[in-house]
Amino acid sequence: MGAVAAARDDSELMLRVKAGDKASFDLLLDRYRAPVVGFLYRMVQNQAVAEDLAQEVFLRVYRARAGYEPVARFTTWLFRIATRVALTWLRDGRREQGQESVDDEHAGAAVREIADGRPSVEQTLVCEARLEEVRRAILALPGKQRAAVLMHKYEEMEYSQIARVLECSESAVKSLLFRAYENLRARLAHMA
Amino acid sequence: MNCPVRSEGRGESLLEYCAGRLDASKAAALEAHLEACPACRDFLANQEAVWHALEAWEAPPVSPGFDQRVYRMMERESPSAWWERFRTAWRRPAVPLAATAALLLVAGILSYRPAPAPEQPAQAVEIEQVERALEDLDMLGQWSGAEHAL
Repeated sequence: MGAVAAARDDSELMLRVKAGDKASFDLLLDRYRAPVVGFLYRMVQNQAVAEDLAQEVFLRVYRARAGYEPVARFTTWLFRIATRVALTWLRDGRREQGQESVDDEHAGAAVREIADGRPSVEQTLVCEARLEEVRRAILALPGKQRAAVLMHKYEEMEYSQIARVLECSESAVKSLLFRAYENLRARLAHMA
Repeated sequence: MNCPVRSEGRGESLLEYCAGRLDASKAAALEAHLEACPACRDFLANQEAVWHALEAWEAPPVSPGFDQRVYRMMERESPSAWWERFRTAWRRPAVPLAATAALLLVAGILSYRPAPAPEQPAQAVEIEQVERALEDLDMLGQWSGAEHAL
């Protein structure tokens, strides 16, 4: 096992990247490619845009390597960059361009994965309709609420880490999550 | 235990219970409370519906060429990449010729000075002015002589 492979800790890997070790960057990319793209996909709801933004995130990580200091968890730093990139994209109104192409093809793939065995046409349609409702409910949330819910639900982050990512207090995160889930319950509770 | 919906105002413990992140002792206390509190049961049932609906939403897989695109972007940023591209381009025979031609053209443009308009020598101008002044005096003298004659 090489020295790079032994460096399991993200911050240690990033310090190696800072020292000029590209192989450590490859490991970080391999580890966080799917979580970052997944998070951005749910933020902007367009796979092509999500991948473009994720590339920008990894490029920013690489650019910032020289000034990297392991003062917080690597994932906090990574998701802070990802959240900023996504919120900027949403704020700049570029959402309008990409929104038309909310990935139906990928939505269909997701339905196929959820359903056990081979779903009937009716089951597929019902699943797609439910997923569409979920996507629209998430899309209706303001950017920060959306980011908080996605980090809480899919990245399983604690309130304290979400607070550091969003650069606000823990109490503000509790408030964001409460309002976000309240909105989602109003829209999705009938799915029970 | 205090009612999470009424006392906390944010239902925080119910959210964490639903996410499966409440520690065992707090979860047991909450379960005991739930038996007696219809408001918390309603809150929890709705939150679980949201939770399961979100679970069904999977992100699509990342495209196979993703890493390559990231590496290309990194490559473009690297200063050595610029130098390499410059060197590769310079090895092509047409590029040095074109660059030399462009250099000569620029040098020609910069060194071009338009020919100055022919100027009258300063001495000639002065002589002309003196002659005109003498002529004027002559005319004045003739005019005053004619006035006396009248």
